Amino acid sequence: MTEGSMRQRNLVCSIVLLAIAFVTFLEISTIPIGTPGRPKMGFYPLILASLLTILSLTLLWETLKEKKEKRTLVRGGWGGLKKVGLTLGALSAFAFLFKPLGYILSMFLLIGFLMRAIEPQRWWKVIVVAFFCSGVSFLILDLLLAIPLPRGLLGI
Amino acid sequence: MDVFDKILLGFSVTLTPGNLLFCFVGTIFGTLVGVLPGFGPVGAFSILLPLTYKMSPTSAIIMLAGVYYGAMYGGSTTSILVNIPGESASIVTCLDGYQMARQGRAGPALGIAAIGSFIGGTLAIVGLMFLAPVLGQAALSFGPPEFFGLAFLGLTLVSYLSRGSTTKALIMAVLGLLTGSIGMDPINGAPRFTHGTTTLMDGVGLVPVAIGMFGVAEVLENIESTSTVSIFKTKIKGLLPTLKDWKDSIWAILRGTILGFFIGMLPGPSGTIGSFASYALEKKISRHPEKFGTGVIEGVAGPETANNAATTGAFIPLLSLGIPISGTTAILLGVLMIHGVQPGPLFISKHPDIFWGVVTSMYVGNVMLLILNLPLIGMWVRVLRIPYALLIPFIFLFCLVGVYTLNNDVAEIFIMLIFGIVGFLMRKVKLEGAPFLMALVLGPVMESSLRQSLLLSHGSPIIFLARPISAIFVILGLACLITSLIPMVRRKREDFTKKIVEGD
Repeated sequence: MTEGSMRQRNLVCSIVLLAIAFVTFLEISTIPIGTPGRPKMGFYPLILASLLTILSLTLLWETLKEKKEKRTLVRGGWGGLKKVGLTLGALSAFAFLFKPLGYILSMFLLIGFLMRAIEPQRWWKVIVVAFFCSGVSFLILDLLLAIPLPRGLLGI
Repeated sequence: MDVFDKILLGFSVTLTPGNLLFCFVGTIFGTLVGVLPGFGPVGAFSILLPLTYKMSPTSAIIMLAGVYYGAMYGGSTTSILVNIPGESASIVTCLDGYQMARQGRAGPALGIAAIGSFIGGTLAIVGLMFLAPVLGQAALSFGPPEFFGLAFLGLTLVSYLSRGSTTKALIMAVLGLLTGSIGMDPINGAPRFTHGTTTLMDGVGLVPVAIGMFGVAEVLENIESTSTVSIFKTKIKGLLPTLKDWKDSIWAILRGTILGFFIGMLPGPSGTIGSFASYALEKKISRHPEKFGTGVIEGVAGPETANNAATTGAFIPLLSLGIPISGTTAILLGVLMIHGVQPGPLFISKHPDIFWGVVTSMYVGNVMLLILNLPLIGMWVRVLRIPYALLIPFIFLFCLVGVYTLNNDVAEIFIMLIFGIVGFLMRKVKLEGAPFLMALVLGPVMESSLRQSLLLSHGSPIIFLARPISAIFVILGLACLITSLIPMVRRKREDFTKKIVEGD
């Protein structure tokens, strides 16, 4: 279990937000801004990017002036990060393989993987549940509700 | 058409077999969601979203509204039996509800929570019936400055009332407005910040953002901290409160209804604030305040009534003004917009069937919840024993299908995943998603009303203060911002929100 301080997180957060504001200013520089009397498409985002800069600096200032005794520790913040990483990896892979493999196969693989990765279940249970869920959900969505889903490799 | 005719119209819509079924599915699914800790109504909306594409807007909102108030019913079960609130709005129920369970009075605690929720929910519908049309009628005279003022007030209020730092809530609101500016310019239709992608031409969709930021992020957070739930072993008997229980709780229920209903109309976590306010009120006026926290029935009845009344109150700004006041109502707005229905001042006159159908469905839904939930409490307790790890693949299945089937576009899945990661990281820094989602919805309205107002006034911002209604909205919004900077107010506010977060 890891421990980190909210102060460190807030510092990183305000720097990331300042970076987002900076990128927004760069983007705005490529579009017309207009004047308050004749605002163009860059006018409103310019106000927002300015507000974001002010608020990010406020957060940075609040974090820096925070008294030592008021600082809070965040316990166990990144403990199960491996499982989160695996889940996100599986979901990204699903998004890439969804069209080429088709709904049934990609969903079967995703459910199977998640059932093994998050809290490992027995193989037979994984296969039965993944097969049942991908198949039944396909029947309901594609055939019953007429929501078109990609067929992919299997062609069904 | 008088009120009686409108109610008849509503019941003629609600009492069709299809809508009754959707109301039933919504309330039962909502209760299930409320029972399961770490899974809220927004996540549940994500799951049911694909089903709503093929429905009429009335049926879709009837079902989702059922999920919303059903979750409030279900939330009390875990608070009382496990001391873990199913919903943040049920945090305060843990204090006396769990103590009642430990004293062998789990039955009356669950019973009064269900009955209080029913009374609060049903009485609040009467308020909704009368107040929403009046507000909608008043809003017909709104022009661009008034709409800008209203959106400004909504966003500042949601930031002011959000849990934790106001600065962070305002940051989220600004980020939401910025994200909402991606896509076509609302005035001249030229693409902005799209980098040539067709997916972003219509802007960043509310559905993938909401599912990512709430559904996916919520599950990721639960995956990270998978913990087992131990249920307090007690025999649940005597669900119906005794005469003494009734005497002790009836006034708490009535006060909770009024308090919850009015707090429900305010932006922010109104259900949670409503339940805390009700608990604080009951404790303050009680003849034995020292007994609160040891298992007094008023401590369960008041808050549980208030959080249900608050969910009904939240429909007023949504349906009459088109202003969502929370993440949940933002998604409801999104669902209506997917079906080509624009909530706002003209909504009730243009779509009386939807408005009155939804209102009367709430009566039916509350009756269903009362009849079904008391005998089903045993089943909900068993549901609590299902390992969360087994539910995760199913939740993702529905999230992925919901997002993909919106436009049959895989890019939407990537947007959902990006916002899932963003939402997960946001929780680490205690940044709230609700102001972001509200701002994303209100962004286009805010931009077009701001630019139109400035065009009308030749660039003078005084237009927002020159018109009385917009001046009230803007001044109230500014007052929220300024008072949050006063150290004493700030400290009091942070202490209060800290209590909400920690369930102290």
